[in-house]
Amino acid sequence: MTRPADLVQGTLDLLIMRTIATEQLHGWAIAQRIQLLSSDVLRVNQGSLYPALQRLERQGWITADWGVSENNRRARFYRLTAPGRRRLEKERADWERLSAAISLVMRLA
Amino acid sequence: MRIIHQLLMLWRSLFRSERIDADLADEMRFHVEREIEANVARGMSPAAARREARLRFGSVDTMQEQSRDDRPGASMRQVLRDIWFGVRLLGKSPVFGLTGVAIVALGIGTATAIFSVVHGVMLRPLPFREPDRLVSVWLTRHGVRNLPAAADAMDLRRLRGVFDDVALFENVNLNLVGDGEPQRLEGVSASPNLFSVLGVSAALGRTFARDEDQPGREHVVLLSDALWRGRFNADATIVGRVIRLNGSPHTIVGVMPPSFQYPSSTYQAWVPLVLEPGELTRQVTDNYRVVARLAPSATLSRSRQEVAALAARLATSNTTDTELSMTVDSMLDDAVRDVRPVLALLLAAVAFLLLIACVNLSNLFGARATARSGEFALRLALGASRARLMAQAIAETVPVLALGGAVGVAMAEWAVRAFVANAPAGLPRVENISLSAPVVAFSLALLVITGFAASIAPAAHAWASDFTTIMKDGGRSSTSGRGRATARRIGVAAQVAFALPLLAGASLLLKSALNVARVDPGFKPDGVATLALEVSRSKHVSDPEVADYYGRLIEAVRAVPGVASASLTNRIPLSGEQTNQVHFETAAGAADEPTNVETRTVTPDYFATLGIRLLAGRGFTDHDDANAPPVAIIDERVARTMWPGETAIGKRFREPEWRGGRWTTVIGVVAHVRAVGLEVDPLPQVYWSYRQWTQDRMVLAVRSAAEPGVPIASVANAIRSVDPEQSVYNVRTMTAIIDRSLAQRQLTTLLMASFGGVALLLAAVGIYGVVAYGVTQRLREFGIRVALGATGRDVTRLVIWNGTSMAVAGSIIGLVLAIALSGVMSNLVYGVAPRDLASLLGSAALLMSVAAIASYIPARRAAAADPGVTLRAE
Repeated sequence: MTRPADLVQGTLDLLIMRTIATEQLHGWAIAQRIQLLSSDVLRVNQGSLYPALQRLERQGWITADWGVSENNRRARFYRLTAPGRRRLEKERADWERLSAAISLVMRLA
Repeated sequence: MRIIHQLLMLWRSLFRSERIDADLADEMRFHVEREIEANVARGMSPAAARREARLRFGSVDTMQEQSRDDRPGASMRQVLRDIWFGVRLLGKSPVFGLTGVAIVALGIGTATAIFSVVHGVMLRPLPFREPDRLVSVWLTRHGVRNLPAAADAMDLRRLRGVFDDVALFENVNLNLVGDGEPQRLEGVSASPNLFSVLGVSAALGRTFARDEDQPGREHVVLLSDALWRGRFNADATIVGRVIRLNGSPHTIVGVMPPSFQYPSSTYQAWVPLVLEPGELTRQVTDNYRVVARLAPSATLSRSRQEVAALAARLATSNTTDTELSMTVDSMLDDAVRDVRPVLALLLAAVAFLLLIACVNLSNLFGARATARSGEFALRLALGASRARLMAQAIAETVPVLALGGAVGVAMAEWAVRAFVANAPAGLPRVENISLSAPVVAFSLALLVITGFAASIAPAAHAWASDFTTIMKDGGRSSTSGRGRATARRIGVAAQVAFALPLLAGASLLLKSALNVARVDPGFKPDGVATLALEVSRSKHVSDPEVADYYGRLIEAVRAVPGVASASLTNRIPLSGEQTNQVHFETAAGAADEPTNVETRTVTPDYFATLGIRLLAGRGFTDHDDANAPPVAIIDERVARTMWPGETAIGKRFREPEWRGGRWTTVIGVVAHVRAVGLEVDPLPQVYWSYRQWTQDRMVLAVRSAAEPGVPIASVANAIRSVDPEQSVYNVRTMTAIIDRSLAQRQLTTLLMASFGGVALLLAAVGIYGVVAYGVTQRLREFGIRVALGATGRDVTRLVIWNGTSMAVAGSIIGLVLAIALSGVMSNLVYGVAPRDLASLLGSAALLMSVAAIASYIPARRAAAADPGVTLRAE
């Protein structure tokens, strides 16, 4: 199994925020969801996931509460805050602009 | 909102750290378990699932560690940990800690205390509107500073565009009768505009109206807050009430706020000043203190030029005042003129003391850092960064500094309270002295500077830590070690250099104090008590009536049992000067040049009461009155300078112009008296009979017949038996007056001597520390020396010279410093030169002997070392 390249920091933040934009998830589920949605291309390393979650929480984009997981255990669920939602919108717009520009260059050059 | 969030996060990270760690651990445990479950669901065996999950997750510890480093305030937590480590180090070596704390406390405490005095007295603005626009004007006649006359103040007012307004005032005694005991009030008779010039208004009622200096309208009075509360029970309806002052009714028009204490806190009432018509034409001269507010467009230097020009015009138009000049000073400068030299000296002294403390601390911490060389080297080898070691070295000084600073400021607070309660007489603005916010900010800044100074050595040490050299030779003879030893020796020499000016200054002041104590005042103070009184002119109108009244007072007092002699003078010795100009008739003829002399009015027994020797001729009698020819008694100094080699009796001089300029005959010569102060002796003295020059304010001097002293209560009763409304004040013994005049000098001397002592102690401790450390380092060398034939004496001499040489080098620099700074002392010494060689060399010798003694103890140890043991110990 080839190990996928480490995600760039800003990209991971964006992915996490996007993943919890619609429902609140715990850390393991976030990693699973990213892997699933990317058809196993993006694998989130736990060593990057938790520091990223803490960083986002510190910045006030996301917040977390202890809750009960699908397998009836105590887990920490993350969700977007109002500033986080605004932030996500902005980042998503930036990202789309950037990736469109990159693919344009790749196609035409 | 965002800031609140950030602060909350910082708070959690600093003080809820365990909670965050525990949460994170829980979260990761959950993650791993969930992964195992998922693996099992995919068909792995439980053991393989667990192994796979662990592998994928990686090290939990590393993540925890990273999370902690990522959190806000991580560096702050590091600093707190270093400081806490410093506290634990203190606990492990309490002697080191206590020494450090004591040094910081001494340095910061003395600096804070002295600075709070300097700040309160010299720096705090005067409590008036735009105080930096206020000036005081003085007159100088023939080199003697004098108060201007009313006409001078009017001339100043007429200068265009220089002053907004000019106010003048003088001190008056106000005898308050009615509503209980007659009370003498310290009052001010001021031009009505004094309050508008200062920019203050009344707390109750109003200040004076412009025209209340006109005769007939002047019977109004303003009360001080203290008087209003003390005597009138803070009666809010007091405005409009009539009280009797000096025998005439005065309407209270206002009460001043408690902050208004002008000219000083002792003043209780203000009345309008009514000028006599003759004062404006200079036919009559009375002297006033003059204060003015600069015009908006004027500056201090411009006002000085204009006023100097005015004085020059006056000098040319006036025949008697050819050498007249006027000076303008800011009011604050004027108020603190006399104490500035003392405060400057004390400030310089504490600055030196603080420098010594800084160097001492630096050496102390540096020595400890050396002792921990091995630890530093090891941590460096294990991957700690040099910056990290340095940061820790600095943070470790914090507990000592914080504790020392707290103790120092507490000591200063206590010292300042004690000082304010017992402030020496004559120190202005004492009520302003406190540990105010600027003072505390100042000492905090000093503490930070001290901290930096103290951290230099340990930080440099940490920075220069080198694993290989230290491990190779145990950090003993490496070159960097030698560099540090040199730095420490320079530190000790610097302490000696800073201590020397302090010791020399203390020695100069001690010598001066001894010289002052040896001064012959010209009178015998023992057994003499004094009290002041002022005659009421509404009761005793003419001069002869006043003189008769004085005669009756003296009769009554003399009749009191236990009183040997009683007399009156208008000014008791050591209570200020009173200068007049007379023209002596010498062999060369009547002098055109006037001579400044101290003048006194006395009753016949004055010289006997004060114990002033009559050298020639006779004293006054009651027959030397208004109808008799004018006579005077001169002191020996007049006799010597004016009529050297001949008898002064029968010689003549012309009395002051403003008294009529009549020829006055000398009938007696008395000993010279220190009239103004024990240390100042500006002028020769001339005495007048109280019946020929009558004054309203007099001091009664009473000499007791026997040991128990003057029965002052009986004396006061005797006065009241003559006039029940006569109030008396300032009851003091002559010895107390002398003590009071010496109080400030004694306090300064005491402070300087203690500063010098502390400096000496610190220098001794510093020398001992460095020499003792050096001996430990060089024990092997001494062993080799002894093995090669050196005697114990040789080693002792070597070590003592090692310590003393630092003191010699420091002393040389210290001597240069002391000589360069001797100007600070020039106004404070008495009977000794500011560069007194004995003081300078004596201080140097003292420091060198202390260095020798401090080196002797480690030298003994070095000499006693057994070469066999020290050499084998390797």
